[in-house]
Amino acid sequence: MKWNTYDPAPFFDEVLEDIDKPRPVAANLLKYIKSLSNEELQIRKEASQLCIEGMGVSFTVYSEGNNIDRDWPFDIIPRPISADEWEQVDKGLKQRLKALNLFINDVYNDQKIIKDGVVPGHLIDGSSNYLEACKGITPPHGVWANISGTDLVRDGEGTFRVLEDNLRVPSGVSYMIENRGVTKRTFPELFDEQSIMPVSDYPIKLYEMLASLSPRNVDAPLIAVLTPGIYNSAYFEHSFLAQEMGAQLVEGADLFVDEDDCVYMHTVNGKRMVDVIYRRVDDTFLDPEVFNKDSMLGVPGIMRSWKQGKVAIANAPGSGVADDKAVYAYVPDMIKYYLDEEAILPNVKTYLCHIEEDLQYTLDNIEELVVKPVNESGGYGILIGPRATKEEHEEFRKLIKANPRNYVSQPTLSLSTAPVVTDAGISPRHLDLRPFILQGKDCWVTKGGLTRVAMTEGSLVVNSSQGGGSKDTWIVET
Amino acid sequence: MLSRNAERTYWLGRYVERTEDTARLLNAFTHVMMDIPSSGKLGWDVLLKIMASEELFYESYDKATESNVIKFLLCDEENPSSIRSAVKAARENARTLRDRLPAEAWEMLNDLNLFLKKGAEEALHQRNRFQFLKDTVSKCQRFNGMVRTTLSRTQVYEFLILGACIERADMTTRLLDVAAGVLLSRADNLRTFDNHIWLEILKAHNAVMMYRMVNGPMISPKPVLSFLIGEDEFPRSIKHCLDSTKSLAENLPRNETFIKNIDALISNLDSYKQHGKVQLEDLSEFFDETQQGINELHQIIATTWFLSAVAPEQTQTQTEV
Repeated sequence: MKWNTYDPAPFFDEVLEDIDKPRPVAANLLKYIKSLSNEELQIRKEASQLCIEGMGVSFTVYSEGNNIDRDWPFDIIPRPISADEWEQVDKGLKQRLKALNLFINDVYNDQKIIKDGVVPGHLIDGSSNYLEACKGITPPHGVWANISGTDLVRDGEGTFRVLEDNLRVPSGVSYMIENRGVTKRTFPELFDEQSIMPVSDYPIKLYEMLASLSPRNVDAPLIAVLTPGIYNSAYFEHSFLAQEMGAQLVEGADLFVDEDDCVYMHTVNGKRMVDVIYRRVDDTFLDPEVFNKDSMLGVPGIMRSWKQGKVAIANAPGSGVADDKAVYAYVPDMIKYYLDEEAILPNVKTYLCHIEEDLQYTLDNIEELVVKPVNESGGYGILIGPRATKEEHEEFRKLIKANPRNYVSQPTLSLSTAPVVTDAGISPRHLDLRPFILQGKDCWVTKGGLTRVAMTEGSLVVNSSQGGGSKDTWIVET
Repeated sequence: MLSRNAERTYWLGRYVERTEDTARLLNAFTHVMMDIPSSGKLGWDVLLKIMASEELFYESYDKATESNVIKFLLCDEENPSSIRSAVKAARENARTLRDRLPAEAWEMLNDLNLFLKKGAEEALHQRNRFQFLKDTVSKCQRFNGMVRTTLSRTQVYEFLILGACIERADMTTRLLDVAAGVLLSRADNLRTFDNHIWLEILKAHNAVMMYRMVNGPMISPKPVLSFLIGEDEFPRSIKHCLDSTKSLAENLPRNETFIKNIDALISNLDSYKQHGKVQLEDLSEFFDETQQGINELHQIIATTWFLSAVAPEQTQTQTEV
């Protein structure tokens, strides 16, 4: 395979230290890939596509008419990370989620952190993710966000930084597991020589975590995965997780709240009590009695049941209050405040437009910044300054001035790159990493996570809803 | 079992059966059309009558030619009863049931769907058609075999087989209704090859050897109809399908109405098949009654055990991170 044209400069590359020297963790991998001819590599690539088709790994794209189900885009070259480095990341992620959960519980109860002036109150009062209905509640173990999919990026120096905390209904974990399955079938030889940490234990850990939330002390609590249905882009994942955990996959209409305020599901034999709901439905669709009255995705009365502790819901409604790009900027302060520790994983420098100085900086330097609305996710509504036109800059200046609270900006990151197989050969592409963190009674982090890669040359957008692909991620013991 | 899943499982069973039965029918009919000289030929529109889809057909096609009819029944995605649509629907139902079925079930249906997607157009040519239809049938049978040998005998199994039996009884009734209507009403001089056609009808049910074990080598309309309608021991006969349906329903809760209806239908079949013979005179009325009876059974299944009986359908979406 021709590698002499592969030049990752000026970015940090996951595989190559410089143009002809692999990073120690990637040495085996690189040697192996180099031993394959371009033709062989293309054959493996096709085999991986067939494998994905055959396994039926798909995701859904909106507004494609009938064709709602698409094969998962996958690049065959794995992305290796050394186990030593991962140990630090693992610690940092746990630390972060613990602090975030203490924060959410504080926000819905005493609001000490606001009274002590560490986090400004208007971030909460003005947030559409703060749910009045959750006030005064402490869920099992005091944990609100039981499942987090935290997005990490490496900057130009190779340092892992947290880009965002996804605490509502983060998706992608099934693809992390399926990616490994595909790699095992595509490059079985690679697993002989190296010690690669497994990822397939996630569903078991997820089950144990969910079971630890059950309001009833039974041997096998009934766990249901609540999906918005087959038209949701992550339906494949909902079904996958239910299947892997041995949980029930339900839609809103399958559930109801009875006179005893417990949640039941309709079965052929009548009603059956549900202990824990892993919901993949957004907060405001959860209960038409409390939130969005027109929601047909939710279950009337479910909030009532949850507040009385008769059913557990993960993530707890209202968790999204900490999943906000303005709140994000305060996470290192939260870690200090609640845990009296320094943040192990740094943030990306963030300018908060509600602060006069930051607002001015953002308006003056918009050409170099990434501007994000605070409440959106999935890469929607973002301006990437260096890639945008003058008109778009102007339009965003207006949007920001009209509602400064709604925007933050960050320097455009030099995201790290890794090699992908393209029709023309091997080229570098930008990528990020989404590990998944579980917190119930205990806290646990996946070994690696979902690596998302921008398939277009030079692009920084990795979201699968925006045409991104993915890679198997290896935590390698060296 | 969730009521919603009961419904999906039932439809999965129906769609897989519909795929197999339609493939068998197209195969048998293509053979008939090749074997019978032009004097005794049937029209391709007979297939449309059997599938009860003449109206829909003429919305998109002007003439019932071979290529139009085969295209319509094999790969037309606008036609909900085409093989292509049935397989897609089967896969779609299985996709929502992956957590209730053996893991291979999904892979098999996924494979069948890819097979149809890639090969259905090719099979419009006669040269490829027989092999294609044969492969389709055998892929369905692989699925059925896997189900029989690895799916636990829970309600999932019961609803799956319930769907398959209802579909098979329905398809067989429609096939025999049209076949008897067309063949038995033809003028004598056109009927030289009719027994050959009855033989193909048996073949379409893979029933030739089983028929001969009961009736000896002679093929003629009465015993063929009698066998496919009322033979207790033959798994593809209407009688056998209904018997199986009944014994499955006996395990389900709130089954009183269903059992009452199916008993009436079965006794109607029995009274019809007096002394092992079928009364040709009022066949048409008999098939109408049976057809209606099967439709009613489906309605009772839906209102007794499915979610649509207790909760409305929903079609909202939300974006995912």
